[in-house]
Amino acid sequence: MRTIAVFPANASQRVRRLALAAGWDLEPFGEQPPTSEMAAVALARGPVLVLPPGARAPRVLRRVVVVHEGSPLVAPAMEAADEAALGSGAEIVVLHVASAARPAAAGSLPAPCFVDHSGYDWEEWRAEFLRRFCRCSEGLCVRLEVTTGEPAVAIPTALRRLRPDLVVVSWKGQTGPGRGRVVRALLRQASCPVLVLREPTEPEPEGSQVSGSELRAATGADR
Amino acid sequence: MRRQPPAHSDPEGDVGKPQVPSGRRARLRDTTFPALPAGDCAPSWAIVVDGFDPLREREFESWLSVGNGVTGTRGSLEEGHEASSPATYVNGAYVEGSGGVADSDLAPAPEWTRLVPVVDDTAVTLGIGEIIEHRRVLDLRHGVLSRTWRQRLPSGQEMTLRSARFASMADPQLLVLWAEVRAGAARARFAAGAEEQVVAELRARAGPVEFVAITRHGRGRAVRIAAVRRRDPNETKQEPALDVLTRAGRQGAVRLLARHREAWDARWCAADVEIEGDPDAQRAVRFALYHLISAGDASGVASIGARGLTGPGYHGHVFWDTDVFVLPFFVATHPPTARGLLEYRHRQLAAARAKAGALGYVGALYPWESADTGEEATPPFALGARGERVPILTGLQEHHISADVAWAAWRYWQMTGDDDFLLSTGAEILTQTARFWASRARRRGDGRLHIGRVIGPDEYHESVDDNAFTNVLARWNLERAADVVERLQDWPGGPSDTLAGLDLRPGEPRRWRRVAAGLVDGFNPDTGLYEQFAGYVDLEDVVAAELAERPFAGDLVLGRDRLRRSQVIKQADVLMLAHMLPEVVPVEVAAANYRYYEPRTSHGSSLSPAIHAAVAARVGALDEALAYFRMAAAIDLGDGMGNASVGVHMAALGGLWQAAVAGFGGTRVEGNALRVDPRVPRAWRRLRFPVLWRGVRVDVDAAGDTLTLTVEGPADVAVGAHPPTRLAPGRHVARRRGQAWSRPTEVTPS
Repeated sequence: MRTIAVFPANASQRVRRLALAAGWDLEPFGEQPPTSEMAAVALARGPVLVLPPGARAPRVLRRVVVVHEGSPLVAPAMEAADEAALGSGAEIVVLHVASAARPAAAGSLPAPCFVDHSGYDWEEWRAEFLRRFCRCSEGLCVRLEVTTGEPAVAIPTALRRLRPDLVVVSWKGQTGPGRGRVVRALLRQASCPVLVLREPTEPEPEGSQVSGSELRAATGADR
Repeated sequence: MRRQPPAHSDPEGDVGKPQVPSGRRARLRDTTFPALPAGDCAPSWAIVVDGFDPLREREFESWLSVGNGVTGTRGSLEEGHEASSPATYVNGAYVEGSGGVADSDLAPAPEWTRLVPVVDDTAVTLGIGEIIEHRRVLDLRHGVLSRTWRQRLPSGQEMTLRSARFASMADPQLLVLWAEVRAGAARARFAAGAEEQVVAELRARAGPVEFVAITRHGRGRAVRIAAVRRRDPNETKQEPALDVLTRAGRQGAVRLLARHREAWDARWCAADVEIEGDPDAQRAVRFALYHLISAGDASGVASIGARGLTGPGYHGHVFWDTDVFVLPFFVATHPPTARGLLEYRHRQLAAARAKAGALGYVGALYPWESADTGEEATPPFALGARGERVPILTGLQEHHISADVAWAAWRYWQMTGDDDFLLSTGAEILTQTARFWASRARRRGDGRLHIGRVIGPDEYHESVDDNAFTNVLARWNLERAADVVERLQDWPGGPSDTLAGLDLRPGEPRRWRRVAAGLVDGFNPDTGLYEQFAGYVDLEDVVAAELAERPFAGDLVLGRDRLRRSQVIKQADVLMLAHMLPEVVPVEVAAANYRYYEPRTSHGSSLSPAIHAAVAARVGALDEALAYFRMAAAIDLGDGMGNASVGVHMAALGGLWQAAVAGFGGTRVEGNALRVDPRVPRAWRRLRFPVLWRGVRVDVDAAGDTLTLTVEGPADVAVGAHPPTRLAPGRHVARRRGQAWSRPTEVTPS
């Protein structure tokens, strides 16, 4: 059973019911509770369910959005979304921001950098993404939603359109650029509860990788 | 929309269950069990996948495919797995599209590798118990995929399964699998009867494909031989698949394996590229050559799809990838396959003429995507990155395909000297495509001829006018067609009969030359630069190299609209011209254009890096060339790069060979001679490869400052910057002095 903390401690009963319906155990913060959403997720070792300022917890869970960067390290977030959706039969929407960034974890499937044919490549990449990362419990409906742009802007924009009842996001605990900015934006702007999980750290994959840095060196682009 | 009956009689595709009872039966008369490969081939000759990673399994299945041009079988687990996408494809066997955007698909044949181990009545899969060892080894040299799997079962017993499979290179209708399962004292076997025969029929559009498999079981061992027969219009009387299988059954798996290995040995002897001092590059180039050889079909019935026979990607459709990126490999190493690929195009001339006619032109406009009929198979729209509907204009505008096919035909004839091909096939391709260009060009107010509304290789910019690649290649096409007609008129013994079949109008070749001379090409003699298309220089000057780490998909970084308004390009376009027509684009012009276009290229196409490697090598930028070579090698072999789960990228693999042999090896045709001017990166101690030049094998061996050419017969060869000379059979050595090679001197006459 997953144990989560809830922030703020006085989050509505609906948030607590949502967590309990997912089968999650609630765990209080220690003696010195965090004073902000960001501090809560930074302090906690485990998952934190945050009700951002101004957000409302749903009466019934109909749509869960998982922010997914195309890395196997996001698997715990998918599992949590599955747990949350199972009770109510909510739809799971996997939200990916297609960009030139490439996660380092082995087995990642970022947006294709080679799009030889804009029709076939995206169709095939979407199918592979769903097979690789989006397996869920039988009966649950999962779909992939792809957007583009700067993630800290594109994700909140997409969420306004998708109107989820719960957002699940994982991060490495860094508050700086990249996913840190995304988490910060979500905790400020999301209009529904946000479950934040810590990603396991993993060494970079072995074997041949694209030699962008080698090319930069060779073409003098570093200079 | 036409509906089609099921692709084959068993929708499950499981040959473990007979689908069609057959009165006749084949027999495995020789049931000798072949030795299972030890899986210890040299690292440069092996692709090894250890363990089991469900995330990347489909990618590995593509890597580990076995094929022979007629069939390709993905390297899936025999017992199956939910992460797996097993498939066997029969080249040229297309069915109606399965509901996606494409109207035709390369259909999967029955799953002939299915074999489930059973220990004490429990079917065993990777998910049952614990994996102790799991290793798959693709022996690139002999085209055999072997597997060792040790599993600790929940009962505590240890099961060992070993298997091997191949698609016969000696007899491309045959597929062979053998396996053994042991589990100590427990009863281990494969789920099936003692001997089973399965018959199925794949209902392809071009005609039925027969499939018959027979399996012999006994004492935890199984030997399976399958025969595949597709309709071949070249054959008046076709041997039924059952007869093929009966013949194979008499030989037995051991003999079939020996013949298969011999056939692979012969192919490698004619093709291997040896790179000393760079094991990764060596393995990558052999991986490329393995898949190229595995995809090659000499029958003329089918071609090579963008993902070969290794996966469902691109629906098996054939693009310019085959004519420009893949075919040169076969021209230099196995001309019958190159000729077969061109005969496939020749068969499609009627459809190409119909396409040109439908658009208001004459001559032959090849389809941008083709399958079995030669009709345009490009979907009119597709779903883009965000699932939005995107119109696909390549089928309407990417007309350079016609000149690409003409270029391939000319290249084949130049390299082989195969006059029979020129008379029967090449002349018609060249003249019909030239006729198209003559009707396609339009005179404008400036008095010059223009080609408007096209897409060049850089597909980020659509509906452009006077794409330099298209126009220069069209001009070249027109001139070569006129050359061919003159050659046929002056044919030894009198004008060739082929002329009558070309249906030439009076003065048509002269008109082709006039059109060629009048075509604008965007070349600025002051700067030495070609403008990629009219108005390109006025676009926003964005340097791709400064936007993000390359390679990247341009629309993800800039957005589709800004991308169109910018100078960021997807792939080699002007540089593609420099690569394909070195006689038109001299090295100093190539260098100027490389310096201009390289930083503007995002390499958002898998076709781009290898060509950049080749051009960079030609202009002497060897560090960059090597970086691009490695980028091309990583397209399939790197984790998270391309989407190899739906098949390997054939054009990138063909491009890798071209980067090695034409780029670093410095080989190109120059008039009636083969020029050899190697530029080998410092990291490589030696680069050695063979090419067939007009029927004579030429072995090129560049090691440090020594270049050794071994020729099997008299051959006109030019070394470095020297004029051509006729080399006598034997060994000839040149030395590097500064940046130049000396004249070769004969050291060992043969």
